[in-house]
Amino acid sequence: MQVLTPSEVLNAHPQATVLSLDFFDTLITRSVAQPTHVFAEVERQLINEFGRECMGYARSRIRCEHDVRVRVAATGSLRDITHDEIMQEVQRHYSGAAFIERAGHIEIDSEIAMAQAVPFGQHLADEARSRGLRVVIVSDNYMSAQHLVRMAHAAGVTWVQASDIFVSCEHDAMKHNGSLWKKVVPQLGVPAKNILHVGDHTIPDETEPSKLGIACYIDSRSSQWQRHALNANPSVLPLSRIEAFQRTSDYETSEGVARHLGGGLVAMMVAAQLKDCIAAVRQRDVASLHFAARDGWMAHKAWNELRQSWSDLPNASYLSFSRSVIGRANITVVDEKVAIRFIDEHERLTPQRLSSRFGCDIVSPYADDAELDADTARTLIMDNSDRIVDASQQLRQRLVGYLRRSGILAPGHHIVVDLGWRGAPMADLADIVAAETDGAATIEGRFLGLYWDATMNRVRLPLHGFAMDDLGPLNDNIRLLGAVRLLEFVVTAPHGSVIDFSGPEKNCEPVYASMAHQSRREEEFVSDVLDSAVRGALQIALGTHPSGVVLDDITPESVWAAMMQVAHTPRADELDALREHVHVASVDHADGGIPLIAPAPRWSSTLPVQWYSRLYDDTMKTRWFQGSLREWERHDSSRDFAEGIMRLWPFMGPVWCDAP
Amino acid sequence: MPLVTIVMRTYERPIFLARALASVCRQTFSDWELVVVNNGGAPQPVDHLVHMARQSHPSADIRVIHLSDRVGMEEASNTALRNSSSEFFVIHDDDDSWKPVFLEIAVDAVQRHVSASAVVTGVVRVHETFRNDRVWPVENEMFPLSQERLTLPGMIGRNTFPPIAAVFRRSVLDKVGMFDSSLPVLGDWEFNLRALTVGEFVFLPERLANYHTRTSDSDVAAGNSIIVGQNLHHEVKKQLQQRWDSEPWEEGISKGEKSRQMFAAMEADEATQQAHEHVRLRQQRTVGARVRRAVGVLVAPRRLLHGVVRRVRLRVGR
Repeated sequence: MQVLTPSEVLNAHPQATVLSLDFFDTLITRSVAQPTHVFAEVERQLINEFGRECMGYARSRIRCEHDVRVRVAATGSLRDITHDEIMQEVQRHYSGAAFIERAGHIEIDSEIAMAQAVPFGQHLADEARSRGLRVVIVSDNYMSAQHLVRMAHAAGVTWVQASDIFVSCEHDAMKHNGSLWKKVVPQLGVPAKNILHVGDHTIPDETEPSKLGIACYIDSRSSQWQRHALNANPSVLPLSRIEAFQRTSDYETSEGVARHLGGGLVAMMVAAQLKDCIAAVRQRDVASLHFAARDGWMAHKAWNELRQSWSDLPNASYLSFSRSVIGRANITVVDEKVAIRFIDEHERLTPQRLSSRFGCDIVSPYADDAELDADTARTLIMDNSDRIVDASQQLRQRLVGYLRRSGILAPGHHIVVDLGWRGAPMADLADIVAAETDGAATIEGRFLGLYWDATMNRVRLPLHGFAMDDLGPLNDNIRLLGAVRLLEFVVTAPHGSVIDFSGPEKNCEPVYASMAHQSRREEEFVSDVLDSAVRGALQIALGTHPSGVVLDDITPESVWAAMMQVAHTPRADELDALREHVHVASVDHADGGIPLIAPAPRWSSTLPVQWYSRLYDDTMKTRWFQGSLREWERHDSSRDFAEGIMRLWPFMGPVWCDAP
Repeated sequence: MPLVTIVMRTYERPIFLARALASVCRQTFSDWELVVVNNGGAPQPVDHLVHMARQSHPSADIRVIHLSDRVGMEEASNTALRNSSSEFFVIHDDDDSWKPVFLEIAVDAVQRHVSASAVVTGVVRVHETFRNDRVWPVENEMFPLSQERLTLPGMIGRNTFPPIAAVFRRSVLDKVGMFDSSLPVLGDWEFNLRALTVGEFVFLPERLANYHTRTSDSDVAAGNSIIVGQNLHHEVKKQLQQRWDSEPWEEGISKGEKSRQMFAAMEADEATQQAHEHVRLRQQRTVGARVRRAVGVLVAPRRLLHGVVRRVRLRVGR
């Protein structure tokens, strides 16, 4: 879409004497990312006033509006529905006239309190008025003109008067079917060719008015920020408010997906890590605090900066840690279980790469560069058990040297912060720490998310999942599993994973995997995410975030909702930006990785249903599942296939916000 | 004195116990004590897990009672209750779990309903598989529960809710006595019926409790008492009904007879529902198959063409 400035739009239509504007998302928007989140705010207030019985109100409100629309449309009427009709429908689901009246009032008040001017629409109207054009508003809406005036005035657009507004619910007609345009044009008193209409939807704002000869311009930048309408509950509000702020500022800066992801979802995740640690260290004595692995890098950076403001916070270390080194340092015998753990069934590896993976010379009857399938590679490493165990024990000594230097082997209880998801490497670390200190040092794992495989590791160390854990609902457990590749990609460090440690002569420094496979674009993307996330998390923690989101808003529910808003229902621009990026999943971090988004299988529309299970499993294991699914939904050739997947596994449909 | 005592009976199931401890420790309500009754199992694993829970939740009030010999579930509960004195108590089995707000909401409700014996929340039944020390969820089922099922007529036929869903007022113990330790199973049902005679059970529909049961392909040691010991349940139920035969019920019917009648009625009702569900699923499958065939024809003309070609080839012998 070619984006014009307000002056360019007006210059392109010199014949126009009347500028007609759509109201929502052209002149006025709300301080949340999508309209249904207003109902989430209503639900939040209703819960505060009436209790938890109101949970799910937002979903009911959306359904009721839909039902009324369907009922009116079924009569063949061209009119729009009214707010009163919607509230009457809501009354069928909630008892008590007082409650309904209160809910209606809260909704109206919230709409006004959340009203914001769209920079483009506001500038366009100002420019048109300065050029002497008459500016009117033509809107399909169930709210009255008087109500829209109050919203506009609350947003600082004070020139708007009720006589300038043509709203569908007051004219028994709609833009969407063209009937409202037929009523508006005669009332404006100018020929249609002298009217310029600007809106954000093709049919009501371009197709229909064009039929009458009205000139049109579409600017859909505001509405492109919306995700799935039904995902509305109070937990969505913090990210929604951040995204609304990004949307408004983006009119000027065009910061791009990486900065939005970093300043939104990732900032909230980092802020959650900070909040969790602040609570832990303030409530009890802990020997030390460590932000571990690459996904602790941002939180560690933010923590250090936060300490400049909050001096009571203890020092924290950045613990270089990966499943690769911890796993290898714990090898005492190479049996089939170890072979399966270190060599994925899909991998094709050379003896050379196996040597590098296990840190020793693998003796092999094959050429160094011969590609071996997983079974052959597994047999080969079992044949080299002694060498691998020797190398592992040496690695363990270096790792212990590093751990000692980091302070985690000092007697006492230590907190280690990680992103998630099973706690297995952390449990291995706990075993090493306990063994090296005879139990004098213990660790506790604090994660953002855990899924069901964490349960078995709970006997090895205490595990806490901030936003989600294995005790959460089954569907959410699976949704988290589908999202982990994306979350690992965006919550990361500017260096590769640790694959070894140097000896004592070099102070047991971590040795990182090469990032040579990373493209320049990927490097820039990650860097943009990092900068925005650390800045955003700090602003949230310090209470200076321009969206108004503060640390109190960072709750398990809101962080989970943020993860689902992005990872489960990504927007088109996010899919476009993330499609080219890869996730490195190999245990030695030594290859080019796998694209986050899987291409739809060839001939997907004719794929037998019995193949779906395998594809589901493979995609879940190696890709960002929901990203792949949403991408397939966007294309004609793979839409049926995506819908087939969602029929078989309905929890992978776009609605993650389950009704209570 | 804490407001709530949580009784957790356990026997040789460390993975479940670790999960159950996490379920308690993550509660948003904090005025509780947890009494873990190790019912004759090895002490070391239980002590280790409780030690870990205390380390990560130093303010948590957790006690362990190691019983040298294994006793019945109800005697284990009574042991914990005799060693505590809170105003309210809960039985949290070692394989079940709560949502973090369970205690906050349920305790608030039982405090507000001063005449209630207990508050019972909605329940999700989590079907899970446990094999080789690994546990994974298979299906969540919305456990059927309503206020009607928490009345004396509603519960006389059989137990209608798992212990994990209820918060009891301790004064009920003074009025109706402790759990019947002579019962190897169904002690909670028998106790609930007595508790109902001194105060109502208030139902909170929000599903705040998870009742975990193992699928049939799980390791036997991990099974629920209700799944593993179905015959025992049947036997004990008969014994209880015989015991109640001498207790009067309304309209000249004994409590035992009423229990048998209500159980039979419930079984018949469920059989009818299952039959309807079976028919509905069959119809759905038939309709689904037709739709799939129709959609297949629409979206997959290539497959249709291949089918036609194959049939023609078969007919003409290639």
